[in-house]
Amino acid sequence: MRILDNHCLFGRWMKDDRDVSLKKLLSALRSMGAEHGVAVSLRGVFYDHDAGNAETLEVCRRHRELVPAATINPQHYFGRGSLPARLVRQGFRMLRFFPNLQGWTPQGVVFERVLGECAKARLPVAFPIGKASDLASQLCRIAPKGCRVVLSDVYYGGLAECIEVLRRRPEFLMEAGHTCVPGGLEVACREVGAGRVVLGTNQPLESGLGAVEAIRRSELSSRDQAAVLGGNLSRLLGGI
Amino acid sequence: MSGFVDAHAHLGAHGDFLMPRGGADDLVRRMDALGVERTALSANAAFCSDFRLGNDQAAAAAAAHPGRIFFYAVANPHYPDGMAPELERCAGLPGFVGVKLHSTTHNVALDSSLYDPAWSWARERGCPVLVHFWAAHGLCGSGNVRKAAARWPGVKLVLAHLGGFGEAWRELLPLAAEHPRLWFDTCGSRHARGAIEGLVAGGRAGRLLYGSDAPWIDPGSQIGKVLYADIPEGARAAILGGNARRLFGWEEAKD
Amino acid sequence: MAARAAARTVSAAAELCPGMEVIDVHAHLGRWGYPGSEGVVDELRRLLDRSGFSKVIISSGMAIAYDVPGGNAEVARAVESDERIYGSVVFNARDGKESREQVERYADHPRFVAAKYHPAYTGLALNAAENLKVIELIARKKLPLTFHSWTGDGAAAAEVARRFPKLPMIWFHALATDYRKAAELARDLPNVYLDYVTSTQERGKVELLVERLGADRLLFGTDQSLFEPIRPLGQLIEAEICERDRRKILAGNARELFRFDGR
Repeated sequence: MRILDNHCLFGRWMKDDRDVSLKKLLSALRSMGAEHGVAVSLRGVFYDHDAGNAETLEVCRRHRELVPAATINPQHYFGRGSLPARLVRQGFRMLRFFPNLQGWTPQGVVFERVLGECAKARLPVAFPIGKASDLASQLCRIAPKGCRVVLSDVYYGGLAECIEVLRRRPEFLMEAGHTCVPGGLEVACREVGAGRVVLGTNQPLESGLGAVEAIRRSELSSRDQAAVLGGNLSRLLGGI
Repeated sequence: MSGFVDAHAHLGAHGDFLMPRGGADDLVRRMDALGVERTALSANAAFCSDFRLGNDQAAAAAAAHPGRIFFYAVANPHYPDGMAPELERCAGLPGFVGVKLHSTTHNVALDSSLYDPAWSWARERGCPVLVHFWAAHGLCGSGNVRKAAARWPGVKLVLAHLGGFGEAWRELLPLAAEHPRLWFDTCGSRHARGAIEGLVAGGRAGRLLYGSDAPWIDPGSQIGKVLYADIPEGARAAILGGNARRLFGWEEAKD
Repeated sequence: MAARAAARTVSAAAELCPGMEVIDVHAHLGRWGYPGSEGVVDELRRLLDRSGFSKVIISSGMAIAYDVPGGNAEVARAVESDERIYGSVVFNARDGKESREQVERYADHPRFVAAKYHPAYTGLALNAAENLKVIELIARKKLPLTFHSWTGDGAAAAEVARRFPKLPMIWFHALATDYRKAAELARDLPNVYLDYVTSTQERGKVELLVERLGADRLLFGTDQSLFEPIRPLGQLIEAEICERDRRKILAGNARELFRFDGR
């Protein structure tokens, strides 16, 4: 079964001594058996999204196992013209947001504008939900039609809300990396279909092997497991 | 009279905060408008992203504006093996004036042993250490400063921001009495009226440094606090430049 | 695909750490209310079949959240139903004498091997006067004390560890994101053990705890059936530590601490 991880980072970490270097990311992907990881440079998260996006592209060119994801910090987005459209032309396959690390919420109109531009540019968007399930509901209400949002970092507390959001928004997907209640993955797939769940494990900050093994040892059929571990994401990214 | 000295400024982008005029040229234009001759800065990138990238940016700004821009090198305690060599590297570049430590961005207490290589290096080199100081904070507050100052008695320690918002400046008086070699800079967005006057009246005019925190804050608003403070002219001149020249050892320079 | 299908008939432990025993010292019975898990004993037994853990120590979610005697009684029934399952008696000192009676009742039960406290539900710090009376009894009964320890609980936990130096304590979650502090505190408290599980399996955490505290004081716990138990197992398998330390953490330390060999 092919394993594709939608949630990967590399760069430097400022708040403690965790190793998020590119080298660590590449070895983490190998250790969990992943063929590809969709990766963002932390330079774009903590410093400047243009500088970070440039670095992401350059690194992904050198490391074919990495698929470039861009980031935009809405607090720094004020110009004219659509950055998502440009990002697609540059080869980015995903746009990942980091509100928790950057200190903003999805209620702002700049964020709403970026989502609109992503929908037009056909650029999928990954957004962290964490334990605050109402974030998924906000996205459900804000995202324009056709905007493919991947609910990322879905924890046990947010799972019921995410399932309802996926019912209402057929173009939305969710990541399976953190659905850590036993049976949570099975319930999500039963309710919304295994075609709507992709793997995202926050590499290399977190251990990925457990997340992969939890899916491989779930009660899903082999076919559904293959879809969750790689097939769905491959399709979402336009064929990887 | 020689121009003013801004002892605390920054450079470039930061992930949390939009600073559209954060470049070195922008800063120099603002310095010209306000009569500031010299500015000592550190790069935002060195806090929020990559200390080497930031230190390179700061050094490049100093090289592009010799005699106008000087820089503090930032040390990151999460790369402890790299701290002293990185400072050594920066000290060899033109315009280097000291070490900047920012506990809250690194999530490490100022008095933590993780910072030891930086303190020890600064003590040996005799250069100032500028620290982000927020009196009530658990990582960079008065308690942390007391411990760090006691552990590193030979280091010239500069506390930024008058200790934080509002009346936090009052914390500086007992600290200064305990550790008479501390220095303080004036930058900050929300200080209480009378802070500078209070510190001068408390006998600390010789240890206060004008700082702008530009481009986080427009330096016009910051220099105004000193220019319009109700203090003796001698104290004003010291705060706006004389003290910094002494701290950085520029007194012997031709100006 | 054939290899994968075959793998599913083998337990996770047998495939991921062949030849190693796995003892889960931190598990629960009862509903947490999130989609997927029923929290009943049959589910726990299915999870044990799938994970291949040899033993599991459970406390009652109902006892923690609502009904101490009712929840402990559920655990007493569960431990009779499967030889892999051991119990931990929950107490809540807010109920006065009742918790001491509960500890008295289960301390001599051959399959209750620990006591469990959760300050977030009772609102009482571990070192509160009411708790100390119960902990004194637990120490006298020689039951290891397990405790949900979160950021901010370090000082209270350390005080109890100092006050009862012969009482083995397990700080479940190792103060969560403050695990560096947990290692620092535990270094000077030889009766303290840490279980590192949280809902996020942070890479590098096990390595750091082994380096700063030592593998002898780490235990494997999963928090099932709130959390999927294979995730923390994967975390330990991926950790860059030596096999000897891995064995200690997975089962060796727990065998000694809970005297499983003599049972």
